[in-house]
Amino acid sequence: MADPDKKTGDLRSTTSPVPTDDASNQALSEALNSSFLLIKLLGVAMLAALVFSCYFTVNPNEVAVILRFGSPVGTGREVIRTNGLYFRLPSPIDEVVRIKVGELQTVVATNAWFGVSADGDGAKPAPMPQLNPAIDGHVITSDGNIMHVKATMKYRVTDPLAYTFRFANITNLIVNALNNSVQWAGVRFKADDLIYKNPAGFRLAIRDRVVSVCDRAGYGIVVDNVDVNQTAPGAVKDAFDQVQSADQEKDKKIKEAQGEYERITREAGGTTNRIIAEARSGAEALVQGVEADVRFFQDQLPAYRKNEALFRRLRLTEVTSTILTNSQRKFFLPRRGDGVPRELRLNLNPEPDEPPKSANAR
Amino acid sequence: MKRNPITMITGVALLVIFIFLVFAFQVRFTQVAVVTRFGRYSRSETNSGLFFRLPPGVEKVYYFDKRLQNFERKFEQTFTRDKRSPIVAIYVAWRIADPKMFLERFNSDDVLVAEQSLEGLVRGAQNAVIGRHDFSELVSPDPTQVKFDVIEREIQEEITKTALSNYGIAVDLVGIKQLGLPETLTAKVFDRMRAERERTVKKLIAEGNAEATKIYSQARLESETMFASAQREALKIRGEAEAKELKSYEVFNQEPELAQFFMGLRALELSLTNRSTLILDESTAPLNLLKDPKALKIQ
Repeated sequence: MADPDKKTGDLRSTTSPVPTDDASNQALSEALNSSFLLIKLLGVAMLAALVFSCYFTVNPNEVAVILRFGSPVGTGREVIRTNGLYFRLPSPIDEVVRIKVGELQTVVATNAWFGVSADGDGAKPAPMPQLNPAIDGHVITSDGNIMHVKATMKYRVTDPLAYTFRFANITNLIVNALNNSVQWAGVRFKADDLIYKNPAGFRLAIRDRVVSVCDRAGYGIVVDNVDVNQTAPGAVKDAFDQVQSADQEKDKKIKEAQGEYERITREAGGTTNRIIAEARSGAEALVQGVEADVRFFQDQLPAYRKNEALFRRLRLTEVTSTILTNSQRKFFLPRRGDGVPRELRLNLNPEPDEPPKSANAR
Repeated sequence: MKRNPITMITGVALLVIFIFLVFAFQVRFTQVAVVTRFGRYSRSETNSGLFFRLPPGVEKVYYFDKRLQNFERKFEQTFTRDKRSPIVAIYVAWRIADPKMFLERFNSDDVLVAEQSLEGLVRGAQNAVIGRHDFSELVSPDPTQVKFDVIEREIQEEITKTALSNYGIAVDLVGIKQLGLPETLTAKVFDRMRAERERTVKKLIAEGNAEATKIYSQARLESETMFASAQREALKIRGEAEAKELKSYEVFNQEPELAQFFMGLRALELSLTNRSTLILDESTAPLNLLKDPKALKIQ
């Protein structure tokens, strides 16, 4: 076995030791210096990154809460950071929780809506003979009927602290509040009211209920809008459509009758006005005629009294000439030479009979 | 020996981090912590912040979510007092009110484990409470009979009685999220709904016809009334005119024969109009002029 000391001794004996140590030390020193420099640079970079990560921005439509060792930093309204640049201590000391507040959020209650079958288009319920509650949600109306209802609610967060930190799954709770409101309103409306007569009232009832439930539970939201769709189950949809048609037909008949009422009474009004106008004009004509006769009589009276025979003959001649002018046919019948009066035979039906109407029609 | 200050700082920092990792724990704003020492309950930390503890192996920290949890059951057929069987599903908003008891009962900080026990509790409360009410208190044409809110409150009270004392769970809200009819009943309801709609259709048609007939009758009645009124008015106007006529004719008393002569002439003129046929002999004036031009001589 070789002696290591000897071997070393041999090595030392063959090389010059002092210059080798200097070179090694120098190389090591240089390497360490380089490494320290790198570490320093890395440290500075990390420090810069750490400082940089301590600033954060809160965007519009959101607020932020800083939790220091799990507790909110600040008191009262200062807990909520609105949009801007903020400082925080590095993790895990501080944690920033961002909460969306401005934008509308939507939840949909589908517990009372029909299920979509494989061949269905989802737009209308399939006409199944019975409903499977596991697939087809529904509400029972106050008159014991079954209807499908879908409610969509839009809301905004007004209390970010409560909304985020008081509830483990706030969205599910809000959906269930809406589900509850649909059922609550359903049992207060008759099927016909819900679907035809008062859908707005039904929508309002759901809205009022969900607002009440959310306020009572302190969800920290404000309900912006509730939209409600409702339809009859597929098995009875035709029957409901027929009711709607009959209702429209009823309205149509009544409107037609009202139109006819307007027409008849308007015509009657026109006719009565005409009757009265004719009566007035007739009466006026009569009075004017009489007045004219009276004036004429008074005008002619002096001439008549002056020479009655002449007056009569002149007036008679005037009238005769008018009659002769206006008459259609005139026959002059000269007196027979023997003075015996002529005998005339009159055909009292001078115009030909009209052909029978039935013959005309044919 | 000269020591590098950076090395010192780094060493101290690492020591502090180690101490914090081993001896400290954070409780978040939404949590409550229970500390056990050698498996026995030691204390609860209900406030948020940084707390100290003995190292693992001596003390163990359980974290509980103190926020309201949403638990919902699937629908289940339930019998009412009057033996009707609606299907009901309810949801429960619950929270851990007593973390020590919660840990003792469930030996876990997992809310899902607790919800398995809660499910049985909720089912029992739901069946018990709905079994005390008639179906008409859930669904009724008379809104004053519906006790939806009362039933929800009673279920909440029923659950709370056991949940708080046995599990350390508080129930803040109970709501009916689904109320329906079992599949077998829906077919019968559909038959009834169809029959009701058919009756409604007939009723609507009859109402429409009746209303329209009423309006037509009213129109005819009003029309006839207006005619009658107009006729009366016209008659009155004519009567007044004729009265005036009679009064005016008193002038004719000055010379009745002249008046009769004028009327005779007018009658003659009116009766012999366009389509009349005249047969005249030579004695009729003025045709008598044809035979004797002097015939018109006025005497």
